[in-house]
Amino acid sequence: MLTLAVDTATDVCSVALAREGRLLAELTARIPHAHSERLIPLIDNLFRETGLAPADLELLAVTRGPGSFTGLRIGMATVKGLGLALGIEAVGVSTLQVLAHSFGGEALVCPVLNARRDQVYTGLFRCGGSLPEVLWAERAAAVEDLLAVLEQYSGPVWLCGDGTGLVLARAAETRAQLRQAPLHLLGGRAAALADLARRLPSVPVDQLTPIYLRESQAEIQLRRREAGGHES
Amino acid sequence: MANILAIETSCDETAVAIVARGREILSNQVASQIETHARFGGVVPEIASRQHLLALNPLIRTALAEAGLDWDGIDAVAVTQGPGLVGALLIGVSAAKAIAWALGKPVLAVNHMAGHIYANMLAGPVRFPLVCLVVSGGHTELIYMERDLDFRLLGQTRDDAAGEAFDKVARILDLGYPGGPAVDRLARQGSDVLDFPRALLEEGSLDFSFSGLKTAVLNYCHNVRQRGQEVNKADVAASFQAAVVDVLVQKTAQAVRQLRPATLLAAGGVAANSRLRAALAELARQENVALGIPPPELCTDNAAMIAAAAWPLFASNRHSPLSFTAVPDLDLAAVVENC
Ligand SMILES: [Zn+2]
Repeated sequence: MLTLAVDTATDVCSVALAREGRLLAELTARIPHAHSERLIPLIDNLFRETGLAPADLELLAVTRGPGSFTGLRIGMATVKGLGLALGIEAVGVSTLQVLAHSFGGEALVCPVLNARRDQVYTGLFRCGGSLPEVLWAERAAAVEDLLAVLEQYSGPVWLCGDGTGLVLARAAETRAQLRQAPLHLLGGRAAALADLARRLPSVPVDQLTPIYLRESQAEIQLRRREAGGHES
Repeated sequence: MANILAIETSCDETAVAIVARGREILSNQVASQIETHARFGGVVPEIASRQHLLALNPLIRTALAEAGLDWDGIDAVAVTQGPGLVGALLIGVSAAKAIAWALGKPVLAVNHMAGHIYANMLAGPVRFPLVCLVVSGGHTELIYMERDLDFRLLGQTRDDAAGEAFDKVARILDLGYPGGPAVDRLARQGSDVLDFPRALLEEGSLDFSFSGLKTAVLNYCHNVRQRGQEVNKADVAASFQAAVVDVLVQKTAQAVRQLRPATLLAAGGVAANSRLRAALAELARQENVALGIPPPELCTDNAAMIAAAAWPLFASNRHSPLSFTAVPDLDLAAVVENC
């Protein structure tokens, strides 16, 4: 199955072409706020380099969140458009699973993305099998709550993702054995996404929905207003 | 046949159209989010973006089915590049680029305001030179065009857009969101008796100002309520609408007399207003100039107008590069440059 994998959920814009577990080409750009400009040109490059055509594609894969709301939607709108035009299905994969799988190896991996407002999007995975095993389900959490969970595990926990620095800055007192992933593994890679997509079910592209893990600010405020019963 | 598939996601309507040769509408689909945003009293950008992403693919499938076409029948993909909400625009831009790339067809980046003007071309050929009054929630402009895609700004609002003033007055009168149609409807039951101010600015200027009018309405309602009296909402709506329309038509008349165009056009959501349509018809008759106003459903945001504005780009091979992106404050003059 010729698979195109697209990840634009964080600062990293990564695309890969893979077939039956073989990586044909991968391009990763870490240029913040330029996903919309770069994404299709990067994809176009993959096909030029490999001599393949869009019509050869059989499957799409995309990170479905969490991550930057805008970044996620650029990737997802692109994959929905590709699937619609080519008549093929797509696999949506958690951004955190892709980060964990990018890290690989036999390890406890805790991907963290900066969710702002003093929170991180995070989860805990045991890597080493064909899919990362979920130990603590993904959520938006306060750094303190995450550290309390990580303290329950003996042995090192590897942190990756753009929230790594945020967690380490608060971890002076913790009993958890935290390790920072090497620089090249801090961001997700589309090759890891393509690899996960082989093992997960695909859906018609119209059914792809982002996992935001958080309501929009307006919804939160509206709910508070309605609960409080007073008009602002 | 030269069929253009057009996508419009600049604000709170997800819209898709297929138009042949910039003129013949094969399908024109609009999925409104008005009900979703009404809970919030206005458009919430993040929620608009979430909705566009979910609504777009099914809408494109419906448009293709209604037009009786498969992808072989589509020759280019057009999309609104701006102006608009950046997150919302990015959904349409990402989808359009992906579809065009996958099909190996050109993609055409279109200015939303050019789209509003070109909605007039869907009704039939329009003779240049022309003057167009563009009035919407974000814009109040007089534009002069000597030829296709050549936009010269004659005047614009210095504060609120006309549509914005309608929305604000609707809020003062508790008419809900969106305000324009509500004010228009209520105004029919009232009369212009309150003599609100008409800001005509300095001699010869083709600019507009509506913030003083909005303040006058606010103060009037406040004073009446302070006296413990009931505001006659229908009269306020009628008087406010009469003041807006007076200013719009006087400035338009001034532009027509100065430039003597072959055609006078109106465009944008406020061009659906019944009193404005009647007043412009009267002006065109007096000045002996051809008049074009799109039918109300083509005045509000839609994608057929984007296909119409994309047509001269397509016909002259001015395709956009795959690296183009959404520009929330895109200038009308940039239409020519971004190709
Ligand atoms: Zn508009």
